Amino acid sequence: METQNEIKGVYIRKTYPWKTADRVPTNYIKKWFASISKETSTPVSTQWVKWIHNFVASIHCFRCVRLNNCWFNSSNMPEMPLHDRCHCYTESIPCNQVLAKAKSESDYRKFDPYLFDPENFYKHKKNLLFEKWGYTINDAKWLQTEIERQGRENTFRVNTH
Amino acid sequence: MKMMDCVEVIVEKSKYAKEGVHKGMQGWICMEECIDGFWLVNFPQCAENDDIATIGIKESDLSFLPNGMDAHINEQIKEQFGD
Repeated sequence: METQNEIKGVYIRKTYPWKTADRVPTNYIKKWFASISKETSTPVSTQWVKWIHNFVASIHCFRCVRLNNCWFNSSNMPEMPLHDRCHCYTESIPCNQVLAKAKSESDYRKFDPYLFDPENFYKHKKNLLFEKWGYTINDAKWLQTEIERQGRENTFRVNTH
Repeated sequence: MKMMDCVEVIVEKSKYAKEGVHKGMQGWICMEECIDGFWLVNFPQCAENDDIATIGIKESDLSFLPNGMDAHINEQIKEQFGD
């Protein structure tokens, strides 16, 4: 089975010798791996897991119950075990499944009225900065969409700092 | 209180102070839900300066600001504490 470094190496080249149909990646993953490979030499994790809380005991940790069924990138998840006698465990989730279901939402109100502050209610002057860059409140919707797009993409980047 | 409301921190607590948030600082509630009595509050500075913090603040540690907030106040308080 190819390691992540091998996969990254493959996409630096133009051809990729995928031999079995069930391991052929989507075009999105191909493009993403290629862009990551150009920008950084750090391996990127595609390991995703689902946190499973084991409901066998009569008393349940509040935090573990909250984490039940949450999906995490394996490089950015709560420490396991979360506490003494924690019976939680994780199940692997295929990266394709995560990509297919990932959503990114940025509340429009964070742009209008917060960022562009049309009523001078927040008095942070960030609106002046954006206007200097050529953005007006009419661009709020576009900015929201762009932030959401970048959020979906950056979800799959590992913070190596 | 609800999302987008402006609020002011009315207590000085070490758990807020270690994040750079002090009594008198003003922010806005940036999340819909109040979780376990805590609101997620963003404390901005002006223009291109980084936000001071975005942390959970207990509702009883906040007062509602009906007339909005002022990020300049946060910068003044931050300077007083030498953060």
